[in-house]
Amino acid sequence: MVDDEKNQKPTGDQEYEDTVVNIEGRRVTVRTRKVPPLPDWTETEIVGKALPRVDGIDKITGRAKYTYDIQVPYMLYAVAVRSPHPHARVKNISADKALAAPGVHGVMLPQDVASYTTAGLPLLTLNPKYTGEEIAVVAAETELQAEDAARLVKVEYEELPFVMDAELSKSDKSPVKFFPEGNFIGGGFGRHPIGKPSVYSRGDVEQGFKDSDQVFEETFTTQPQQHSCMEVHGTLAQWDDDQLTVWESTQGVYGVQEEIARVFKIPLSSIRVIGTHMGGGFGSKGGAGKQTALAVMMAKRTRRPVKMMLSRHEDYMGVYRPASTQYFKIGVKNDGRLMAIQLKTINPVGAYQSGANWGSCAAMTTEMYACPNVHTEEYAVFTNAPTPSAMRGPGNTQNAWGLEQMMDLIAYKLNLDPIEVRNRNDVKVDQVTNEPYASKGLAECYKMGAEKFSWEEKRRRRNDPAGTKKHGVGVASQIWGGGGGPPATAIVKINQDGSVNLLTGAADIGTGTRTVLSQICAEELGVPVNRIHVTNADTETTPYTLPSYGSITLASSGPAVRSAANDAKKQLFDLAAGSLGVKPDELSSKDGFIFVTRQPDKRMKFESAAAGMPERDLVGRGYRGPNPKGQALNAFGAQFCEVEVDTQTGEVRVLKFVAAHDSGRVINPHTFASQVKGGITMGTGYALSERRLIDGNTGIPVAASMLEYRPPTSLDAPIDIEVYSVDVPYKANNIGAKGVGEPPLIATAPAIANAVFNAVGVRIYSNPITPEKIMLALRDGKTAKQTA
Amino acid sequence: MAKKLKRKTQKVHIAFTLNGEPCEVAFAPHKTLLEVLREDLNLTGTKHGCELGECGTCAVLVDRKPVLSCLVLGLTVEGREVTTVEGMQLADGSLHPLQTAFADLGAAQCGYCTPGFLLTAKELLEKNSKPTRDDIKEALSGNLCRCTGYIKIYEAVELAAARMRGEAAEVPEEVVLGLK
Ligand code: FES
Ligand code: FES
Repeated sequence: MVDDEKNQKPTGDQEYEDTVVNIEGRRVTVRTRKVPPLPDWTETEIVGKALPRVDGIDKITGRAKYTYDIQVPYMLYAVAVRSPHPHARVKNISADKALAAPGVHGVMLPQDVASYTTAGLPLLTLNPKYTGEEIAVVAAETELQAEDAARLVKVEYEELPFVMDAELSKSDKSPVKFFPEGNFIGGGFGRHPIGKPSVYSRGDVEQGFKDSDQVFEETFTTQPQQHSCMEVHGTLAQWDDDQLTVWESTQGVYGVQEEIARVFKIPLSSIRVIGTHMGGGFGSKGGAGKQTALAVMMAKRTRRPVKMMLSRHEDYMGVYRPASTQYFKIGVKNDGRLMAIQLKTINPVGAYQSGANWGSCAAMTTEMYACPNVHTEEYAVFTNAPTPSAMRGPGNTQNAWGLEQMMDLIAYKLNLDPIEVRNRNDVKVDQVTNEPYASKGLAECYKMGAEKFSWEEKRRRRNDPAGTKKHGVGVASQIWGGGGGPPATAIVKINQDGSVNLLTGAADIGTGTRTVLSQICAEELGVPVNRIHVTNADTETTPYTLPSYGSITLASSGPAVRSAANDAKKQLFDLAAGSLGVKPDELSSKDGFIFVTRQPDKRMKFESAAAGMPERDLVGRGYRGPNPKGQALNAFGAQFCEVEVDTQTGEVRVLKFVAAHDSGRVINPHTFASQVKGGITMGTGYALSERRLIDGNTGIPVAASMLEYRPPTSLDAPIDIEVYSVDVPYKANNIGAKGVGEPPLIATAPAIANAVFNAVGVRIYSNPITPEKIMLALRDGKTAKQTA
Repeated sequence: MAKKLKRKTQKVHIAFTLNGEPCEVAFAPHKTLLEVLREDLNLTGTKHGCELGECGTCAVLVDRKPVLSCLVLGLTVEGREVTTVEGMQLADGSLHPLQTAFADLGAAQCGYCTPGFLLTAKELLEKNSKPTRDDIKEALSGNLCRCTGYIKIYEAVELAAARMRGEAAEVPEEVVLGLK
């Protein structure tokens, strides 16, 4: 994973330079090798085509093996003993009974793992700080034996006071003191002192409010959101002497490998992590989990392979997108121009400091719209809840709920079209870094989306005052990183029969990475896609890349794959040039032929050239080069939504979404549209149904199952979703593409909230927008403020 | 003091038809059908999503009806006919039209939910060769998918149904592109 200190070591080599990579909103400087530029693709044969997924057959036949599916001989199952209390001290713990139970091979207690931490968290603890925190682990021959034995680990707790409410925790009255300096810290990555919020400021907000014609103040809250990956988190660890193999349902095999090496101080060469197929991540599987380290240790102790998959219940007691409260104050001119924005955010982040990384959500407010005076203040507040993690569009997804509703509210008050207000505040420069956007197709997104949605016409439509089913329309926008960057390496091997192996460390978390990278490889080599076999996400056989987070995968590994294919192609051209009697640089390739560019009938088959390779194969290497200096790399989008609100029941049906996104070149329209449709559906859950509840009186999660948490089913998802790409050229990498994994979720929930307001005239400030909140707001004839 | 737990460890032995072939298997009697399929028969195409009957990833057909294999004991299929995703192919070994349609349209993203959807849809199409969109939604409402947003899945079921009726073997371009 990217870590500043490690990457700041200068190499002193002229071949390298520093470059900035934007990962989940944090800008990281990394040193990377300069790579030879490749010409822009003008016409493409394979890139841009809606080809079916290269691994589609594996998935529809049940052949694809996920971590949960791997079984090895003598495998044990590990189950954790978890704290039933939100805050306690373990007075006594005994494993004797558990160890004597049938089938049990090992029990680990906190004292056995005291010297280890992963991601800033203890592996097991004598001082649990949230319900569900791991106290011990039991491994047995069957899962049932392990579960039974886990109940036999005798733990005596002394219950301690706990705090679930962020405002209470932040105040002097908190019953728990997490740190002597206070119960909060600045939200977001980087070093923040405890007891101080993180602050961003530009201009002078007070002056800005004075210069405004109108000032609006509103408070929005968002619920925690849970990833609900269909495959739960889990690990299978197997030692063969000193060689460790780990199967992990992960977004990044190299991140997991690095973490295991760091925790246990073993060489990377001794650790193989495999994550080829995985059942969804959405940010929750960015690195190693506690169960990774625990399975590895337990396997070492018992000398048996150990599988530790969480149960669905445990999964729901684990990581999540943190909640937020957002206090907005925005000053505007009557023409809609923003003069000043002040935003304070409160983000409860669980009991450990590492949770504060995700306890920030103001970034979108600092960059989405032109505004000279901005002040944000973010509090990551400790509570006795589990530690959050990244989740699809972390920060911006929470913030969009508030910001995009503020924009809607401003448009309404000023009697302007919400798109007009947004267009009047368009900006071509990242106002935080002062760097111009390498490309920004947001205005195009508004234009195209509005047209396809028939925005103006639908906005003019009036509901029948007597009717009980009210239609409404809403729009919201988004900004995200997605420019990708180094390090990412790819290897392209051409075999003597002309078949090709593509090796990439990148994960395919359902996004279609394998497919789009194969297309890029095939395009550059000039061979059909079925000539390429891709192997991915295995540290032993595929080269280094960052995890699939921050929508960076395509824009990081894609250019590396193109460079590797180009390197391999050049080597093959050197051989083919002799046979065709020209110089290598006079050659091109397409459709499985290598030909003289100016004389296309002078050609030979790709495989004939390959057959002449003296070494029987050749290997091309490609690296992701630096990002262009002084440019901001961002993906944009606008989403339009139509809802029907039943004024008798408060129910909201999402009838239609039109999404227009700017992600540069679309490599595969199929996988692109799938990302957007899936993101919008997840956003619909965030807006309308999903809620992670922890009982404030007991500290116990009460919605820890799919039934209660309520991710959208086929009956809740939007009825129709149309997806468009605005195809604005982007030149910051050699494939011209930006990421699209996270962007589609960001604008969805506020677009729905805005449509609900348009339909029934009440604004719901807290998600999810439940029928109850709507009915209460309608009854009171005003907007529902922070209904619990 | 917890009493010493005594689990009957003796295995039970059953015979049933699995994917069209006779099958005999011995397993611990408390095991669910999901566990028997995955752990004792090594057919891991049937997925584990929740073991609580909430997600549908474990759906298989028992006597041609969809069953959540996490909710029934392995013992209950004695003498019955079980179909899993590994047995969806037609007699000649070619893929079931639902499988091809799912692959053609990219209705599987991470693919973890796919086997459950395929089997549930198979039963739907056996009952109803021309289901409406609402019929499909209703039939699939017990299967969760966190990746796709369902629309591609409906389209794939519709395409498979059309192909099975001998109509519209071509995929409409707009549907293939997904992008208009
Ligand atoms: S695993 Fe059976 S319904 Fe979820
Ligand atoms: S494709 Fe991933 S859950 Fe359905």
